[in-house]
Amino acid sequence: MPIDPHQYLPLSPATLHILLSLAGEDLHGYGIMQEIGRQSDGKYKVGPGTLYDNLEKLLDREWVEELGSRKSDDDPRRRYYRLTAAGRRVLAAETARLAGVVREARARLQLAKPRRA
Amino acid sequence: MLRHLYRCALRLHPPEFRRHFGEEMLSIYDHSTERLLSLGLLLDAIVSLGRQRIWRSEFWLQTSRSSMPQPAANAIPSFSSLAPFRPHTSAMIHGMVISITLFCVTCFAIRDSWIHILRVQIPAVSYDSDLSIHPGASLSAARGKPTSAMPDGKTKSDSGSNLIPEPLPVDVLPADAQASTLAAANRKSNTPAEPLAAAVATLQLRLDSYVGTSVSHKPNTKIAVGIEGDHLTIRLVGWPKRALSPVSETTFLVAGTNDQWVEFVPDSNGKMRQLSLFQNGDSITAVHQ
Repeated sequence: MPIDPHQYLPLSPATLHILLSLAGEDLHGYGIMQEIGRQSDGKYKVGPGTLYDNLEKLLDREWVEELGSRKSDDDPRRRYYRLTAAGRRVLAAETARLAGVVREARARLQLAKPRRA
Repeated sequence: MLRHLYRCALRLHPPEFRRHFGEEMLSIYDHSTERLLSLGLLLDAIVSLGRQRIWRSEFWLQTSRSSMPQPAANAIPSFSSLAPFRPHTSAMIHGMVISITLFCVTCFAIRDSWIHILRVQIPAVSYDSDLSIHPGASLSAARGKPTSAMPDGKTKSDSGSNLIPEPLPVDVLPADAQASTLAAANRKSNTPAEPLAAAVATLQLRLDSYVGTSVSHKPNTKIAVGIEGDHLTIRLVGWPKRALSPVSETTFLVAGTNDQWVEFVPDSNGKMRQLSLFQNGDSITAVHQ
């Protein structure tokens, strides 16, 4: 039976960024850290401790799956991770929630604008 | 060194976590080339360690109902813990290791902190056992009256032996006035004046062994050491008169500085025959005249 993604919302910033970084392609831990830095223009960074702590949680919830080592010329210690269908659903639900927040915020800010005489 | 510490921090992680992610975390650490970044990763690993050890439920064993304390037979309930969990044995051991490590690091940091680097010297305080004043009291306190408002006076010279190594106040009563004030104070309070007066006299005798003018030939200058109240003073050409605070029997800090001090070299009779003035990494050695 598929899980209800809404029961896990809102996601923590680290979880959201990890899921978001894996939405495009399979990445190893270091790649995830770099992708998160790129997505946030360097404003949000996660260390390995935070990353793997969250990855462990995501693996337990089966939102992410482990692929093991991939490229022969790559560091053999690296493991690749992939977003699962469940993870994608949670990410989609969180994105929709955030879109609603942004829409609401814009509408309120529009109302709050001073009127021209 | 940092890599070794990082490995230690990883080893303290739960075995399951370490097996799964330890090598990969180490590979990420190996990517960092800057020392600051490596330090950041080490801190991150320590935070992660705390998170894993404190918040992960697998490190807490659910205590079984049978092991829970049961009410006593006379219906008085026995004590029980607030939570129905107890820490895993391995978590206890790791916690102990982390506590000891943190304690050692803290001690190390205190010992080699910036205070040490700036050479802020804290005078060692010890007391002469042959004095009859209370060991914990300063001389001013022993006299029973505040002395800061008193005028300066003349000094008194005698031979002496040792010095009481106690930081002494700068503005003090002249020696003669001290004795009379002390006697008056003691008469007023109906306490015997002799022991305290003897203490002041002993101090005066000891300070006298440092007094005199010393001459240095390189650079060509004179250094005069005198007594003012119950403390020594130093005067060098081009310097104002400065008070000296004892750090040890032969070492005195120049009052108001942290990097200027005087070291006396006594002869066989206990009289000072030579002194060295250290300031800003340089030193002037002068011989008593």
